[in-house]
Amino acid sequence: MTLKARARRLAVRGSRAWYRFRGPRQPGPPEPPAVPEGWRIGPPHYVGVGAQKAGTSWWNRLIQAHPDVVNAGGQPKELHFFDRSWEAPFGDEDVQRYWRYFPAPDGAIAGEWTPGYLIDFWTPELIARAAPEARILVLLRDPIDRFRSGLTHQLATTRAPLGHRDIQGAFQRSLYAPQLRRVLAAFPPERVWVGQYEACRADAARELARTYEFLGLAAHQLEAAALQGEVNPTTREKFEPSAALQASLLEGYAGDMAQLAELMPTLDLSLWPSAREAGLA
Amino acid sequence: MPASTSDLLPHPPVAPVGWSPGPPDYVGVGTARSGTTWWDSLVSAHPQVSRPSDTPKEVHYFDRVWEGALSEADIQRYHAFFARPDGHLSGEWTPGYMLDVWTPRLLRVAAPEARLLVLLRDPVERFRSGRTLAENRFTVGSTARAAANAAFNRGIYADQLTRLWNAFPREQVLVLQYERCVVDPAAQLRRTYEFIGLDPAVPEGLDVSGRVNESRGAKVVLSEWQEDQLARHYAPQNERLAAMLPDLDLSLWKRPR
Repeated sequence: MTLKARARRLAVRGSRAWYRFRGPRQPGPPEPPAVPEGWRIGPPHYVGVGAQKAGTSWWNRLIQAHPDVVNAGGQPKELHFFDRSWEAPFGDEDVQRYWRYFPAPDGAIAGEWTPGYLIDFWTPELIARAAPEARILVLLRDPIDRFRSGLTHQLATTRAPLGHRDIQGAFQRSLYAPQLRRVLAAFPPERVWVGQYEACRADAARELARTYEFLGLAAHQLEAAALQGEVNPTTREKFEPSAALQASLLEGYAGDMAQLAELMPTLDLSLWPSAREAGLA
Repeated sequence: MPASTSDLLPHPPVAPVGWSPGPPDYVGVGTARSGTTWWDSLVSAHPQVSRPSDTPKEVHYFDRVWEGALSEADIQRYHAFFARPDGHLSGEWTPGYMLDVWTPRLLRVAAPEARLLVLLRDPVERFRSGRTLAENRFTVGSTARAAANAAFNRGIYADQLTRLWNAFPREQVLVLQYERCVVDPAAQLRRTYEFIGLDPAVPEGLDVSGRVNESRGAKVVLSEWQEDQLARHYAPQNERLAAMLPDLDLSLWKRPR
């Protein structure tokens, strides 16, 4: 082994050990913003809950491009407000605290989009408690494409070799049916919008018009240039599953996609290569 | 990157003299914190069952082979864990095999004739017990949140069983319920022996009631809210499982209030 290769290996081991010791950055909400004069705080008008690596940053940016959507103090897209709520009891003071992130003047709306809410089994009900009238946004993507993109993202952010629990974890994140079931148990179906990344890519203007309508916003045209754009494009080494792993994934997702189609009949499975390959569309 | 798949595979023990390797006759594939160590010890106590003393209960042979390619040599290497004297049967029990999406296919390649054993426990109780074990400790980036999610997902049995049934004929899989094993271990053990192809008589003097691998330290205390959340979110998954397994007695498992 060359000296360079040995040094690289040592560096990877070191960064991995450090990562294990330190743990990942604990995501959590920042301080709530100051409330501009004449604005009121209140529950969010919309909460995006998923899915990771399904175009949610892009879509949230387009929502916020509407003139009637405000974001006081430039709040991050992802508040991660409920990340630690499994361990800590959630009370009325938490509800009040959540509202402080969404100041808005009369006639305008505010919201957030944290993709991890969809996988956290305790979260949909807490959102319903903190924001019972909220409209819920879910953006889904072909499960294998999402799996691949999620692991590519992980390779880039942790810079550590993937372990088998990472693979299993990424697999689990694309099992949408149990996740969506929990959302639909907490919110009536007419207040849940389930979009598809592929449909947004194919016709962003049309899907955005639907999203605005779902949010109760007036029709609004964005310039073609503003519609464009991947917000978190992948530039680093891509994770590419082997043919054998792809076959296992496809088998694993086939049953889930069938359940998903039952839960959400408006979903167009033919947009997903995995669904076509599994003979579901 | 490892040079080849074999770098990812554990090393088999040296077989005792006179024992010959072969594919496992039984493989326990699920699930963690459900009494599998106890049950494996009872299977191993059968006079016709042998396993080299250096072969652990959990071989974890396929854990790191998610790329999914096993050579003929890799398969032989798996078989080397199961040396046994003439006329004896051998096997192992790795609770994560059923969970990992890539494993059932590999197991089918490496041990196509094996009888598979699955021990299932009320997922709420499994969660309570599993969280005390550091089963999720080694996840890179593991937080309390990630550990709770991973522990929760392990209790969605219907998906796991579906994947297992995709790889193996159903009659090659025995699903046992932990709660029934506790109530009547002798009857469930006879069932297990018979399924593996052993004389079903429980060996005389065998203490079938013994518990092995009890959680060290205090169990996780779930709040009423947590327990209710778990019971409610597992309910639809348990219903799916019951539709797959007519024998499953859901009245033994926690139901939502």
